[in-house]
Amino acid sequence: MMRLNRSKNALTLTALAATVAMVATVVPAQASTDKVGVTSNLIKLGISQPTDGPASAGYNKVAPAMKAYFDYINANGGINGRKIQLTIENDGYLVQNAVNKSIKLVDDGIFAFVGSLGTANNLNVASALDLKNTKIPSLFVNTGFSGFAVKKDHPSMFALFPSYYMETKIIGEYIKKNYPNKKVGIIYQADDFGDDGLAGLKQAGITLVKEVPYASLSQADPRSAPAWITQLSSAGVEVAIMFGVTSATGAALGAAARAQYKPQWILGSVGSDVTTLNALGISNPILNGAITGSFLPATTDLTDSYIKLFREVNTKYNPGVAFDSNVLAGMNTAFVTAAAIKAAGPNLTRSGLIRTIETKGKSFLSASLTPPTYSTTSHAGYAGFWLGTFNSSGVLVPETGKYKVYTTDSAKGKVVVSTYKRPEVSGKGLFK
Amino acid sequence: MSTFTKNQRNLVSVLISAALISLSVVAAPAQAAATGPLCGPSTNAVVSCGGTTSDGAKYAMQVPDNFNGTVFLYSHGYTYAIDIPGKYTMASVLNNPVPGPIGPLAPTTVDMVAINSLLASGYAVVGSTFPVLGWNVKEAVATNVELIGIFKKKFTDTKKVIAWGESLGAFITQALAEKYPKLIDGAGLMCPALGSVAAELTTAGDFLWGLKTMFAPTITGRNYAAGDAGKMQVYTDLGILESLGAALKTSIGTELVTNAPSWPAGAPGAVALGSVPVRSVILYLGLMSGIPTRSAHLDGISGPGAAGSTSAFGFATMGSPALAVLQNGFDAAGLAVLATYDLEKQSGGAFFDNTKTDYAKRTTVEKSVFNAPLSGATAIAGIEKYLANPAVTRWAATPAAAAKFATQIKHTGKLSHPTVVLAATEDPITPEGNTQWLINRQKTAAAKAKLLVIWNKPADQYTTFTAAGQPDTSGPKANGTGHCNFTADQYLAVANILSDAVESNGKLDTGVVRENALANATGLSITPRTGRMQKYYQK
Repeated sequence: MMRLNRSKNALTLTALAATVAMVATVVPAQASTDKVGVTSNLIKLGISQPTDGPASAGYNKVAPAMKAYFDYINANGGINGRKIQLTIENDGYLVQNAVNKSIKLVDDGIFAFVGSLGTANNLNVASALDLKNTKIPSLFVNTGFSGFAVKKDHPSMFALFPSYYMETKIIGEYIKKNYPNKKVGIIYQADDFGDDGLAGLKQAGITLVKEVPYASLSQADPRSAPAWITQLSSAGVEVAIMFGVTSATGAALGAAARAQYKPQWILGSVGSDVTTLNALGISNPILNGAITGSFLPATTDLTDSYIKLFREVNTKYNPGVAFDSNVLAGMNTAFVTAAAIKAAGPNLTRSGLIRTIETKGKSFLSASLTPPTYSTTSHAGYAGFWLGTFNSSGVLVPETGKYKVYTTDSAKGKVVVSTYKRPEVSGKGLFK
Repeated sequence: MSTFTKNQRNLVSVLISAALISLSVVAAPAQAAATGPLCGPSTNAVVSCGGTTSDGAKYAMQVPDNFNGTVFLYSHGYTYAIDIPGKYTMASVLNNPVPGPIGPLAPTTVDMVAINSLLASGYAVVGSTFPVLGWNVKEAVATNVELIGIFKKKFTDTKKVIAWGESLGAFITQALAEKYPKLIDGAGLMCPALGSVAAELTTAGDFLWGLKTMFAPTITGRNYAAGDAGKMQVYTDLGILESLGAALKTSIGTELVTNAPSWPAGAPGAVALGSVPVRSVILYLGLMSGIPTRSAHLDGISGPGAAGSTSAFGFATMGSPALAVLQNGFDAAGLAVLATYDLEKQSGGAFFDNTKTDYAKRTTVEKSVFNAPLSGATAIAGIEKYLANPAVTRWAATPAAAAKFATQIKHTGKLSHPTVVLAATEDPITPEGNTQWLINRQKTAAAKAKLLVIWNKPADQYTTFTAAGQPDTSGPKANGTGHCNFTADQYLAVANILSDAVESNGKLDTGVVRENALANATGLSITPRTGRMQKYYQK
């Protein structure tokens, strides 16, 4: 057969022989994709999230914290003889970049995504990479959008955080109990994130005298936040819910302070990391008295065995990084990932891991004050929050002095006080 | 903002995926009876022949002195079935047969490297004008059948026939392969239109309807009149599109600076949607139509200023997707005008029908992914309310014309030969869903083994900016974008793999041959991926 080549590209026999050798090396008999990214001594995981840029504040601490926890596990022998390698790709919080970086991770041979950030980014990746059919696991996504818990739509994805819908149902019950006659209003991000939250409030029976939707990222316009505050104050809102990302929360609190508008603030957990708000110029006195929720213990709670462990790991494997709620979330995600890998056993496969989370995930221990709710029909993660109030030092103090955890679902279920007794961390958080 | 002037000026020519070539063929008389082939003397070790098939199509053959027995039968892409004064004549196509791919810049610049490389390697090439222009699958298949016979009769040492084509030419090639599997031995489908013409034109038609509805009510868009009146409507529509493209580019540029909506004067959508940025409306129209959000010069990631800066992030998020849709969408809209006119003539009236199309339902995922550049849920709801308003006129087909249109040749997707697809992931004219349709049709391992899809993918980042911080659209289209925007090496990768397959009992190589072919052509990938299906299939 004659070869078709431009003369400048003509292959020499030497090059051909080298290519043959290369092909023989790089094309092993890969029976299926079920074990991609797993060798006898390594598991390759990947995460796409912003590590720099204007949308990275706070979020850029999550993946390094995850890596730190995996480093801690690796330094102590790994899991089932395998070390965990986490590749972090910077998507700058751009939907197109999230796809590009996720493709790169797949091309690099990861076993699974873990902790990938953002509702829009995860939706775009799920669509572009056809996760529904390729069944590449996307574990414990870093978003509370309830849609990722729907197995029929996202069979290889698992939520971890309680949904935004659950969060605002709980907030709604809290408002009904504590501020029964106050005028309630909300500023919310007008997308799946905010819509989820708004729906939860309405499910709780809250009547909103003012709804102020804002387009994601419009908070960067300095005219935006003052306009939100004007709308709330003009409507006489006394209990103001801010359900947005941290940059929007900071913009709203700052604008309110400048306008001398002082409602009872209730902040969504996504936008209430105190160190990030401080970095955005929101001082602790401004935060003082604001209410927010968390599904994890307070970062300052040194009596909690998980917080104590995670702080120690952070000091050793993530040096120089302040331990805040983003670091805590990252550590906890890594912890749950390790639990899932351990439970899946030594013969680790993608399908096996998914099946393990569905069948055994409810028993995975973690720092969360409610257990996961995974099942063969639902990929929903945690289902509860406790609420607290920031004091003048920026410390989140539980409403009754100790964690009173409310639990519910992403549907019409009631909000009740959780009876779950979380076991303390065992085995030094290693999964031997 | 830098301009899209180059694209707009070339609006009507950018769609001519097969272009004009002057071969040193012996002139054949233009008549309805088959003539030739008449061959000249061997020049540079190649014999060039010309002739006419019985349907009047002119053809060109080039056969090297060291002919190895394999001939590549080329089918060119869509060419307009109407003269465009000062820019395009049908005669220029009908008098100039093309025997192979001649590059994305044809006819301005003809790249003979692929053809010459085939000839230099002992392969023959052949192609024709086809007897009629426009969407001409039935006629083109018949011409190709006859042409294969003519070639084999003239060159009796012919052993293998590889059919390949671009865009509509790929559709013709697949139709030929399905109807006459014994006539060919392999198929190359480049920037392919596949499945049905309805799937192809729905994307373009939806976007054109959206432009008319939101911005330019004077666009005719469909149901063109007969005769010269219809031609004038087409010319007028093309002119409106050219002006509208410039106006919308200005609007978006202004909005990105002022952060306030800037609708062009007279836009009907402004009455109800004046508080929604034009960039968000354009983006929505693109998403509902299935127009790619990356284009020749806009990658959806890059922005002016330092990487990671607020200016770069803001442009990449808010500006780039809309500008990419604008750049891609006007290519699609031009196709919609010209192909609709052509196919309405064939069908006897209006065939496009969006009276039952639920655009909101089509964009379930996209609305979440692009929520921020769409300006949030409230703005999205406003756009969808406007599009669904009964007072906003939808386009209804004439039943008889729709029925006639439905008789256009469709593919089954069955593969009888080794088939290689070369497709760009961001093609605005034949979106990647065409290729995905073919992939989805292969259900068995045996069927899948007959298909190799080569994706032409853009780099992650390729947008460049002027010193003034505006996107620079003056350079060549990025790899993996545009329509049939391939290099000679990329065409040759297809040819290489196919020629090996037909000489290897029809088996597509999975090793050295494939690796070498791809190694010689940058920007290609055979990593499996799932292309986004056209919105037509979401009905």
